[in-house]
Amino acid sequence: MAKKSREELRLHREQVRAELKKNDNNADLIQVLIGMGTSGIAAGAPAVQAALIEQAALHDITNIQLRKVGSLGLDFAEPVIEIRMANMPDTIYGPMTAELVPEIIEKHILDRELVGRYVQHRPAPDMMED
Amino acid sequence: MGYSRYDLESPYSQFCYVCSGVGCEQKKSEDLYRNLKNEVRNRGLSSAVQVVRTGCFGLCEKGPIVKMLPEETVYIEVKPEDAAELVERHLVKSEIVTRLQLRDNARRPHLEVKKDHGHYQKQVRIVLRNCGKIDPESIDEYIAREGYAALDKALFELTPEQIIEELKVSGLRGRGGAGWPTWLKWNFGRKSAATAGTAYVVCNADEGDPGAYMDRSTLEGDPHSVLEAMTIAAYTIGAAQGYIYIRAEYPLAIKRLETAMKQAREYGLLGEDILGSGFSFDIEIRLGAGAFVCGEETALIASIEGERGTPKPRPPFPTDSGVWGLPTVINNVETWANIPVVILRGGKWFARIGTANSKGTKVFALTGKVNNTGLVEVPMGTTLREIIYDVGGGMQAGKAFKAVQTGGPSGGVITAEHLDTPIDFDNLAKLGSMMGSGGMIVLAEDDCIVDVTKFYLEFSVEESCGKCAPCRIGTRKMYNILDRFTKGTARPDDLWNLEVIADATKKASLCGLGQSAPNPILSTLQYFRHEYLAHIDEGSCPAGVCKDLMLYSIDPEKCIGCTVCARKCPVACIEGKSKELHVIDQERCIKCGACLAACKFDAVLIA
Repeated sequence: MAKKSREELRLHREQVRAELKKNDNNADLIQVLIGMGTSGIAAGAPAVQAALIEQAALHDITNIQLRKVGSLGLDFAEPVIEIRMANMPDTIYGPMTAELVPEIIEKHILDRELVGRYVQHRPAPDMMED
Repeated sequence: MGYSRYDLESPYSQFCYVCSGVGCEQKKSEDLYRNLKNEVRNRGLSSAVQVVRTGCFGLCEKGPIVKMLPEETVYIEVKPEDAAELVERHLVKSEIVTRLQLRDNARRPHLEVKKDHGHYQKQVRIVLRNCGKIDPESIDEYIAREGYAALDKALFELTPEQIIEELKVSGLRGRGGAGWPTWLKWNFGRKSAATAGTAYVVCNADEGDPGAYMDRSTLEGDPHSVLEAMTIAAYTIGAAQGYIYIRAEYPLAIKRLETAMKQAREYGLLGEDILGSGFSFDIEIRLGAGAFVCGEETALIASIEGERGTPKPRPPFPTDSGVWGLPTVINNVETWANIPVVILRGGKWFARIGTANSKGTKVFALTGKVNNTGLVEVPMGTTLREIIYDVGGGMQAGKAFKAVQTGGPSGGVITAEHLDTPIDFDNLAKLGSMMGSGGMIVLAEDDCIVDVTKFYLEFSVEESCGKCAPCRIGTRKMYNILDRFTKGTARPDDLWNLEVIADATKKASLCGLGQSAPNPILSTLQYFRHEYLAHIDEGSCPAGVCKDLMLYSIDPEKCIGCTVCARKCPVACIEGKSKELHVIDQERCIKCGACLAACKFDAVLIA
């Protein structure tokens, strides 16, 4: 990646923004965000991540994108994942375990049904969108 | 939040969230949930509407909460008997039940929220704007969310004077503890740098307060925001080199910072001729060994230079003579993370958030006996009650609130009578505590205030660098006295001794560590003197924590001789035959409380 000038940075921003937007608008893409700060990792996020990869493969779900993100701040519910997909509300699940992953994949992703007991719902305004 | 992509092919066309956090549960949210489910079923909507219980929404005061999706309508204070009306009107007739609706968010006009997505949350995320949203190891994801746009603006559109003016207008104060105005620091640094020819900028990531981890989370979740801010500062004051001083026990934060720095260099956002502006600046990471005193800026500077991390008297202040004797601007991680937003949105935008003398938001690490522990970011001026009872979801297991400890080993406690005080720099200082870095440890009725204070003093004893006598000896002496309180061996004059030593240590210590180490004592003595006195005068610990002051015994009237306590006792010190009175051998009792918990007849007494 070459050094950028001011104009190149702006152009690049437009490009990556468009790319991410394309993902967000892609009705076929399932994005799963995994909170991978120290507290998430300590609570077992890597095992949840591994189980997600394994279960997605088992169910032949190829349109899933696992994304590592920093802490969502919900330490009481770690490990935490957020699922974003078409026809479902953006949903945060926690506390997650590897054992819970099959249920989340089958119900939420395949049957589009929420797994009630584990839904965490604490939306904070995103100043970048407002 | 919410769904932008929605069509009617979904199995469920609607979702109904019912908060089942502890607060809402106490207000019958479980009955409400069942009623809603029944109503939905009775009307044949089960295949279209899914009713689910969720974790705490963080608005307990207005609970129980119901949220309808995809409309994002939030209903508050919903009673079980409201279920029929909600289903009939909202779900069947698609009309809003205005009488229960949470309408506009009057709390945050300054944010100019365009679409109210049910943003009832009391949190406002500026520092944590990208945490949990972007991959911290992807510079592109940071750039997509206005990343490095503030640097672009600073380098090409603003003069250093304008940047300082913007900071001045914003009212941003340092988030590391003392709350020094950021613009003033930068201005001093800039003036001294003009004479010295060059300067340094430093990020203080030596987060050391027990219970505080907002800096770690920020660096782990959004490392580029700190790099961008430091580069803006370097351009403003005229520095060519920066240091991030971070403790080695934060390996993930270090790794993500290193990745971020590498990416920034590849993009030309660090290094020579940044963005073709002609301005050059680079950053090095310096690892600390985890000594608390190294968060003090003169000790931090010594440690960066490779010296032993001991403080020096100020003046000269670091902005005059810092790293290698050159002007140095040191800011804390959270302060840095605010800078790009201040530059990009402008000082005026920032100044609309917060109180008269404390602008913006504050990140707190909420821990202790509260339901929703975690990182919360709220506007300055939010009350403690809102933080604990709404965002924090209330006290664990319905325990009574006793106090909250803020400011770590340099801070103090805030008690129930001040729950409604708006939290900002000035108010916390008035209450005898301090903002500190933002650790907030919630204490309940079963926490002994003397024991908690002893914990902080133990910390200060271990972390005192030993250079000056008042701190080295004073903290140890104070610890010893507190230890006597908790062991029941305190002497009558110990309270007086404690106050005298605390006062002397505060006045005579060389640096902030010693000067503030007595604060937990002074603050708790102000509000909980009676609890100290109970330890000396009555030889008892009101919270039932200090084991040496407790005596377990069995009430002969109530004991039926069921033998449960004797079987549960881990040291087998309870004797008695079946159906006969049991007796605790005080010599051998370890005061673990197992018998108290086990007895079904309330026969175990505690004094």
